[in-house]
Amino acid sequence: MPAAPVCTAPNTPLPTDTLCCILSNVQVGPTLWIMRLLPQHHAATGQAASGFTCHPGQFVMVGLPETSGVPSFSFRRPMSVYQTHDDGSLSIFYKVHGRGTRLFSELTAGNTLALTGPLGNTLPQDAPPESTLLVGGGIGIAPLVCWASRHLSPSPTRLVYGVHSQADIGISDAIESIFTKEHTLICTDDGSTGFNGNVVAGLTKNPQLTQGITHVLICGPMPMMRATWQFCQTNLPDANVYVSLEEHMPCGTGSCSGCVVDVIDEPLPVKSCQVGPVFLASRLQWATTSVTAGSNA
Amino acid sequence: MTTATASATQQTIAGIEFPHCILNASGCFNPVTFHQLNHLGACLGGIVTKTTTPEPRPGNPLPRTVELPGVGMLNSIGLQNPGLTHVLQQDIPTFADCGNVPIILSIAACSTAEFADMAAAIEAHPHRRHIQALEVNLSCPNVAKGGVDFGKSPELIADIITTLKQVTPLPLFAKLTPNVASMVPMAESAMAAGASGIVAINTVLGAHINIHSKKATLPRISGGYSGPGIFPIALHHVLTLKRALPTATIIGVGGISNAENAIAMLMAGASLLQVGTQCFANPSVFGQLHQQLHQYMADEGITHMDELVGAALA
Repeated sequence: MPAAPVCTAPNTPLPTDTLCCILSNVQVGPTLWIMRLLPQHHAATGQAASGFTCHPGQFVMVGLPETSGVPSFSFRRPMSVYQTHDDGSLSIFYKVHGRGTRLFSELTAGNTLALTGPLGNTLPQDAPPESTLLVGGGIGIAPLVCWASRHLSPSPTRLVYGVHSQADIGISDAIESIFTKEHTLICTDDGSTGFNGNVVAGLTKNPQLTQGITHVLICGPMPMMRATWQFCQTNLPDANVYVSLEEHMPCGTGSCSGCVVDVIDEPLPVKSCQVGPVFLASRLQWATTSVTAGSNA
Repeated sequence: MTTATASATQQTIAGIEFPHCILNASGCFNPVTFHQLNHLGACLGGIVTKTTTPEPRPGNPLPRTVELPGVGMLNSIGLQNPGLTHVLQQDIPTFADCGNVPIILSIAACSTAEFADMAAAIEAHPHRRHIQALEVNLSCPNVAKGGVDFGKSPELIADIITTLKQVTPLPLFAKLTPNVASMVPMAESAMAAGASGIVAINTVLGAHINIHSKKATLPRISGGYSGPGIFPIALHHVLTLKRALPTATIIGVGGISNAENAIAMLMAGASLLQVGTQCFANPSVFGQLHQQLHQYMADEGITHMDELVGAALA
């Protein structure tokens, strides 16, 4: 039996493979960048229909630039959609932690990159903002901010965001513009700002953040998502908890079976790029879910 | 700008009309997504399915792939697939809607009897009408004969092809491993037993070690090496096979990443091509290769690709 996508949105646009023009590539932290991309043909024609239409939680596969003009084999890199813009462009929020992301960081406005997307399913669009808790870790915050930005401003949604240090937040301005202070808890491992500790410790010490919560959306490193899911099972047993997986994805198109995860009641591992990346946490086989998962560097 | 006519790369092999000479390689290609991206009917010669086995297979533990920057990748997927029944019932009709191109079903089994049972099940299934040929993936160990790889034994290959021929009239393309001293005896055996062509090459055995963990990256240690780095190896084997078996149809596969590779593979003797790993780096590869191949032919005054096939052997 094929695994049904847990929350594919109606009107999900078909993916395209297109050359994009970089509108901006801005460093927002020691290793953090935001890149804004516009389909090149759209930049030329200005046709609104040819820009990106994405839903929060979806991702794109971004091709690496050719070095010295010579094509060179690389996997594309999966990147969550961080923002979409009225001009048809989209932004990704990325951390430099390997060869591919380092190459991305060296690009400037006017350079081009190949991009496939939007791909994958979506975060639940019908989760009520006022009773939803977002828990992000590192650059896993990107799809959660995208989700919240589609709702009321200021958002009534609660956000718990874990990073190593204040410098790793990167998108403080966006967070402050979308979420209210009372609904936001920044957790830092080194105590340089906000709560000194991880997101689970922060949630434990701040029970007001989980009062009345019916939906929890989690995205971040696998150990953080696993710990947050365990917290939810104990403290929010009736909540609908979703995780957006950041599996290593060689293709992103459901072609290679390199990003599979085990899902309860599914006889075979499912492709997280195709069935996910968003899963109901209660459906994942956490005991066998890869602890080394992480987006392509 | 003039390009060769669309029919310039049409091929008829074993009675199957391939609208273009470039197909996907098995296991690297989701027809549904690629049809959304590419409109496959305009640029793809046929769909080769991911290999199916008689029963579902869960595949190998993660990580299953290793990126090898610049040269390709290693894979150790372990033939994860939902099994023949599911593929026939669910996947084949879906693929039939992806560009209306010929469908080649890739099959693998662990004994000759299993291969025969698969062919019988295919023949009996109502969706058989969507399938134009079988690609026989001879990479599995033969459990009935002490784990000997089918693909390394001319006798076992002959046994499988002969048996399949008795069960199905579908054309059979034998996909052979390059991990042997010479592929020629295996190809000769397959053709003598009635195969309609040889698919060369499957992946090359390779490994990767993480120097920080001091361990092999793949849990199964070794995997299949594919991508641009194996193109010269594939070209060597296709040249060698075509020299040894000049009348055999060769489907050339292995590291084709650009039009120059595709043209060279045709010149080595391949009548059809398959592109696999490059799909990951460039999902638009089929349309681009199609356009560039036609442009090359127009520039060279070539009216049909058959003029290229084996040109380097003349």
